[in-house]
Amino acid sequence: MSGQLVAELASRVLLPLLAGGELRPVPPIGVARARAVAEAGAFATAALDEVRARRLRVARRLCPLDALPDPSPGEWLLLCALNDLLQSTNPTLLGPFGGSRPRELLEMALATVTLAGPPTTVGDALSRHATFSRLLQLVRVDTHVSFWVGRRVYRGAKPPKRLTRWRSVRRVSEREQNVRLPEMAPASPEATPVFEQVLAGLVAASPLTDLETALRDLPVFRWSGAALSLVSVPEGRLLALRALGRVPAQNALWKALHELPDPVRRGVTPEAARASAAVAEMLAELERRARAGAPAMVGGARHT
Amino acid sequence: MLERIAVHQTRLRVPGLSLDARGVALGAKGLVLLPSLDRLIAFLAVYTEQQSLGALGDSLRVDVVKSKLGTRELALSFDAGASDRMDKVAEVARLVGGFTFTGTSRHFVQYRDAAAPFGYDAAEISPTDAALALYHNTFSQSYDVERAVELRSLLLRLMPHADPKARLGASELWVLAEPGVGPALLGYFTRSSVSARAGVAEWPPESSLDTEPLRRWLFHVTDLPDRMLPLLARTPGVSSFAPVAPGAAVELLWRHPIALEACPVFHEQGLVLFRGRGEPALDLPTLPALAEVSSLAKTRVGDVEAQSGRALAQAPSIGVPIRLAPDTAPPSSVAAVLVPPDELPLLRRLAYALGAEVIRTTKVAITQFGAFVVRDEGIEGLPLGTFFRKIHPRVLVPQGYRVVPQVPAEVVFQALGAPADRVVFLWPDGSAAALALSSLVPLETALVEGHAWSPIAATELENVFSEEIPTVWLDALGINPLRGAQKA
Repeated sequence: MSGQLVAELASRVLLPLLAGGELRPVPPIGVARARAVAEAGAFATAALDEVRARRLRVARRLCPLDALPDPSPGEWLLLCALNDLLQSTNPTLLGPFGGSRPRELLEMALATVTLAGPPTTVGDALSRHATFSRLLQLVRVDTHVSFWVGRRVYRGAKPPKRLTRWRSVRRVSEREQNVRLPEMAPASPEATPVFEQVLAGLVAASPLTDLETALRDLPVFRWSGAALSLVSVPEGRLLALRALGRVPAQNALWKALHELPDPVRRGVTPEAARASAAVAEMLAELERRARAGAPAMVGGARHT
Repeated sequence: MLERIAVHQTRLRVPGLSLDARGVALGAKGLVLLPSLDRLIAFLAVYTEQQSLGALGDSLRVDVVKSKLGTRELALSFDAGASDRMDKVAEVARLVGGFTFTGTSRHFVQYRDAAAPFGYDAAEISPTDAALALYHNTFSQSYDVERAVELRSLLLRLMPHADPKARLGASELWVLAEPGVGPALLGYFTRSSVSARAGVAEWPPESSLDTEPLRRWLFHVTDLPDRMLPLLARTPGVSSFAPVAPGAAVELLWRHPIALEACPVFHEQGLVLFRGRGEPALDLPTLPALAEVSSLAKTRVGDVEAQSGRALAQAPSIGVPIRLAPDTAPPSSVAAVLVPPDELPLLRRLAYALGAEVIRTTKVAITQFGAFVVRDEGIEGLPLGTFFRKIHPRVLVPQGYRVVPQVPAEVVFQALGAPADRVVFLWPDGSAAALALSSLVPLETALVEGHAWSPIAATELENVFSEEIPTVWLDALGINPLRGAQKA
């Protein structure tokens, strides 16, 4: 059963997430099944060929690699959490007496993200970035239909044919709207805080993606433990600087990154002090780049 | 006794002696001690063969010095400059049997040789009031200066010797003629149109018994024909001198023992003539007034009055029409070709053989006479039709003809009315045709006909790097959407 779910998850969520196109989330997964998916992730061989190529292409933008390991169990867990996060916006999730379902699903997704945890190595961080670099590019197409006696909004779905018949007589008009992932809302409004929490957790779980999209509007960038741990080691800092070098607005980066959490800024622990020094070094490099006027190639990185 | 200077030795005993950049002991002055006057002359002769004495500067001085033993020798002193110069002087001195020293004021020590590459230092300085104290490996001697020898007077006293290898070939000469020969020579130069200037130089009488100064005609000939050289070189009463340096000349077929051009003792304002046959040199501190020989030649005054003319009331016309006459001059560059209509197919075929540069720079005009093909750089590569050459930017004549009367091309152009926008072709019969410049079009635009082509369809290749936006579509979840999640 888990193998089939893994295959469906790979072909319906993972591959579209990397290659673009239609992304149709599988039915809600939950924590327990996510754990099983993580264990059986290696069985998704059919869809993984293109996934490997796409992930390698993303990784090569930051590091000259010849091969990248397949998605780790942590990435499968995060993929399950992303699936549940998207399903939490599905209006059909509600149903009769189902007003709390979105919240339940999001809490399971949050538990899944927590279970995945931060990356443990620089290579793990690069692997997660290779999978989730396009996370914030996800859009959902909402169709707004207005007709003679009312209007409807179909979130991530096409309106039924019957609603659009006799367009001129019923004065039917359709308008499609692209809603980005951070702008989506769960099916029930009270689950919105959990939705934002899960989304922030997903972004933070891939620190390179987190840093590369530091200029995003939502969720607002804040230094996470994973990002601080990454930049504390020289190799991670090098990858982070290469990822930041791809950001067009170099001048704005310094403003986004200079706010450190208070304990880190004060350097209450040796790790915090090391992270603070590493961030200061990164900021100095960013300032130098901003003065130079163009993003520099750090360490001779090949951007492919 | 002298001590050899060692490498990195810094302290020297001889006053005024120091080490130069190469570590060679060198004073401010150099000194060459020569045993006799003939050795001095030999030294000057050898040294001036290779370089100028001017390099030694104004400090060059020759003194006759006398030792305590009464022997007289010659000391030639000069600014030492650098050890390179001293090395050359020392080599020449060694050749002529002299000794080379270096020092600054009074004490001079032997200059370096093969035994001591860095030079010598005196072990002990002898206390002396003499003008010169010389320290050598073989002797140490002090000298007093008896008298100075002026280099210029020394050179003037040196007699040129006959040079058997000398050839008559100078085009510029100074010619000294006796008073009786001078006027004849003046007339000879004038008749022969030789560019020369003449003057009369005079010197004090050679003997006190003479009352008149010694006068000679002096000619400065600048372009003497070769045929006159033997006459001037061998005629009694005429002496010819070839200039060897500004202000100095040596008689033809004679040679001065020292290269005078290397001796900066002569001045352009004056002239020193070194004569052969044992005669003393003639020194002119300033040149006499010189005038063109044509100004001094005899003139005749005729008794015929000058005739004055008057203008005619109506001048007769002397204008003649322009004609073309066969020209025997070798053919020049072909600037245009007139291809008759019957040869136009040949022109079309030859177009395939023309080079790209020729096609780009050639213009063509089609007229009732045929096609005029014009190219400024020449169009010899087109073996068709009638060739025209350019005598004026706007006037062309057939190859092998010239315009008669032979007036300048600009006059011909003016006679044709100087059309501003046309180029005029003259025919062999004398008639002319003008072609509008605007009718000349580039050959490249007139040459190629329209060519049919067929379209080629290309297959679009997939852009493997294009990335589609991932778009989320949500399917309906059914009645119990969280069933699977909750069950597990």
